[in-house]
Amino acid sequence: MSSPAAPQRSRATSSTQILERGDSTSGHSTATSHVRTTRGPTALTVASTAVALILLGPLVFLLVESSGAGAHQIARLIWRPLTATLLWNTVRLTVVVTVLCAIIGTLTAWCVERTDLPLRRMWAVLIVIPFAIPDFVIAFGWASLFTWVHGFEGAVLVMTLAVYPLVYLPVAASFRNADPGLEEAARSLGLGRLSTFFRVTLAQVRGAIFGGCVLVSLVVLAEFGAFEILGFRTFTTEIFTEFQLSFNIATACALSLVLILLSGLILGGDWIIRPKGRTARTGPLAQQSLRRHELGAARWPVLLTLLALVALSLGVPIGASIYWMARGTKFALGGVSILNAGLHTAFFGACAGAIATVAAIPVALLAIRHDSLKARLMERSTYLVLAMPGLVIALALSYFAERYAGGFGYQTSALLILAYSILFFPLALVGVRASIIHIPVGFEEAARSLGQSRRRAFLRVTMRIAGPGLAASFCLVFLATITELTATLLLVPINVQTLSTQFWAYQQNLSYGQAAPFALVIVLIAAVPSYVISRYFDRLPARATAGQ
Amino acid sequence: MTPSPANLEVTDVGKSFGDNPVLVGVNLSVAAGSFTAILGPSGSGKTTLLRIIAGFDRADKGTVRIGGDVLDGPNEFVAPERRRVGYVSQNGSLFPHLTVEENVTFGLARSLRRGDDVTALIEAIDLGALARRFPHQLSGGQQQRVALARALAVNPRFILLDEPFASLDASARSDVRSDVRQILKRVGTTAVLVTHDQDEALSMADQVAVIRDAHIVQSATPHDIYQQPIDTGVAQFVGDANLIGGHLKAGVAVTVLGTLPVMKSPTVADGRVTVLVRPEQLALSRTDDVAGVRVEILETAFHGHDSLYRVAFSANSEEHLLTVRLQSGEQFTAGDLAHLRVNGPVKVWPAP
Ligand SMILES: Nc1ncnc2c1ncn2[C@@H]1O[C@H](COP(=O)(O)OP(=O)(O)O)[C@@H](O)[C@H]1O
Ligand SMILES: [Mg+2]
Repeated sequence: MSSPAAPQRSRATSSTQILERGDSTSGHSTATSHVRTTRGPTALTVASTAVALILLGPLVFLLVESSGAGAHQIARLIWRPLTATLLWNTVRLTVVVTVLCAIIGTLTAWCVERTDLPLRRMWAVLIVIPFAIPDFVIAFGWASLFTWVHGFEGAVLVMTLAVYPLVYLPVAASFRNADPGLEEAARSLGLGRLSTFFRVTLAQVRGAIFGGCVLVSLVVLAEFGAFEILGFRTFTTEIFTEFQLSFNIATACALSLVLILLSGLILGGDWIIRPKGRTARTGPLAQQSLRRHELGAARWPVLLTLLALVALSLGVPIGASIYWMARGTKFALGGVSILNAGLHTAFFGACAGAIATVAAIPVALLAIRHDSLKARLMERSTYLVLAMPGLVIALALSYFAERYAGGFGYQTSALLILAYSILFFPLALVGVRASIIHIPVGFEEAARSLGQSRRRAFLRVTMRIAGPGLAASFCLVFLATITELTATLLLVPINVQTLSTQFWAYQQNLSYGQAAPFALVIVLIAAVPSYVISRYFDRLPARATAGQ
Repeated sequence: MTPSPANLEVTDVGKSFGDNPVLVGVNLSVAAGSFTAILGPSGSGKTTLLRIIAGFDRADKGTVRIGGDVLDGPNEFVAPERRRVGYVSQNGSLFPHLTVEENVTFGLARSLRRGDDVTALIEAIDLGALARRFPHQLSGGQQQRVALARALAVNPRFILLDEPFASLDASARSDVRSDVRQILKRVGTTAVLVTHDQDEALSMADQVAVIRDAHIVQSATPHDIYQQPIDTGVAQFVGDANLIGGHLKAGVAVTVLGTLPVMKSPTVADGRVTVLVRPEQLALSRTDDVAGVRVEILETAFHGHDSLYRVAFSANSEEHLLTVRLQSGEQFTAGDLAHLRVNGPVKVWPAP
């Protein structure tokens, strides 16, 4: 399973889920043998509880705060025509984009994995890359070139092009693992081509399609930058306006609650109605018997369609950035050099990467090594962060700092780093989990019987073996922060610019020529490497078990 | 390297996982410098017992003493790293990020990692040429030897082996077994080996403890375990067993196979008994023999060094089936008729 990691925050959480799904299947057979005792050591439990509390802090704060304002007041703020408009905009956009992504993602995955499409390897990479480009860059590319790209239609176009890989990735992985023998069995039982496709092929990947759709809708709900550029009003843009420009904090909180409720409904629905049937092959590897469907004459239209898809999703944003850079429109706007912004970005990202990775270690250890209900609940609760759009986390943190810490910490580096750490924690957790789950407890026990203390055994064995995986987790979080925009806009210290906020400032000022280089730098230094690193996790299980 | 082997006393140890009692009132004593095998079917609690001795798990009840020190008791618990008890697991658990040499020296202080002792130890396990390899570049048998050397390098008072040969293929297994046996004898460490393979237990150990349903049911020398099993279950577990009914009277058992002399000890009261006849106590011959029983050969299995026969006869209007093991010599085929004789005294238990 390949899964580029994630530029924007919502993207990060999505690739998190993709990684997690693959992991839970591959780790399944071995995981049980790694569990020995049920009651975890106290230090681990305490550390994980602290992490879970901090992660859920913003959510709890919002809930407490709004219940303090009184249900009546909240209801009055929510019960307005504005909310209905936002709800209508948000829901219809989410539904349309999700359906389009499901269709495009599934069909492209089928073409790449199951047909004799020419240049399959190349397409497999090109189709996935748009996922690694921040949505706001794609929106910028389209909106800056074509004035008709705006409003609802513009948002549908841009979001679909930006997030269809979220369906493609899990579905393609599922096609790779599914048993192609079933299709042959269906044909031999008298089903035609089409009914085989709908009753067997699609059934094999329906869990993956479903999972992909959940990710797409979470991303659309959390998106901010692209909608702002396209002038399309959703909950996120409205919350941002109310909080940042009108200082209308109560309204922002009330709208945030509705947004969290929407994401929560999707996450909860995912847990309840996700198709349960197993879709993995039951027999031993049947890969050799995989006969790809021959496209025949359909090859040319299929190739043209894929070419168009890549041109629209990849060509336009990158082309636009290059175009504007070449045009070099010069509007003066307090020049901060790319290097300067890059250094700030790197500093925030490195701190968040280290904190999130370290914080994920006790939670992952408790869940993997001491598989109890408590440990699993704790791990699950950290995934609730997924229901919190970056905007809402940032809002809760800054409001908290202002209200209770007397402004202490507001718009400081520390608060921004904390927000990043919470935002990208699920990404770090999946990475850390994947690095630890294949390390048997037996290694540490062997070390202890050789005279090493619990702590030294852990450091000399488990942490050493997990080392490369932990480094990769760190890099994933680090790179994800580079492309984060929404929380950064709210929390970045005064007089400091990061790559994304500087891009945003130029973009808002219509200085496309100065914004473009930032867009290109973000794509080059964040998106591309994060794609490469996330592939590391594909090979992790094989590497870790090679020795035994 | 001068290990000081210690003895082990396990007294009344109990352990449950949830409602599932895995060990109940387990007693075991192992003399310093000896080699004991714990033999039991899989799931009988062998690993759990070893892990308690190693200190990875804590007993719910009872005490574990090594060399007189209480390591695990109602009020004491010594951490595994301070027990000086070596542990070799089923798959060796070699650290995958370290070379053979680094694995072996893992438990040593930094200053001792380059000493002659280490070189000697790596030579002793015949892996001098492989010192710089990583575990995944070794065969299963080599990995097990490294795991043993790693455990021995820190000079333990005691070493525990949890089915160390189970994951090896049959041809490698016997070689590695005798290597390990020799290394342990040379070093003189007290060793406890856990296995579900009765051949392995009987051939390697000075003492065999049979564990069944959470209890140690018998511990004795391999010879006694085989000849004098404590009950029919143990008799069947440690080898092929023919069990027949009989009547004990004045030191002889009257059975369908004739009147058989009975082992002297332990004494069993006269009356109805169950009689154990090992297949190699039976002999077949074509010549008519007055003392023997006429049997028909049903099935034969040729094993090279010996042959197994399933034979049948009827007595008292009942069909009886027996297993006979013959050293190479006279051969029989299915359908042959032969005479059956019993050699040596037999083991008897009061009939249930
Ligand atoms: N950590 C544990 N939690 C629950 N049950 C366990 C645990 N460890 C072992 N058991 C159970 O205890 C029994 C004995 O296990 P074990 O000692 O591994 O047996 P053996 O090594 O003889 O095969 C088995 O039924 C096993 O399922
Ligand atoms: Mg076992």
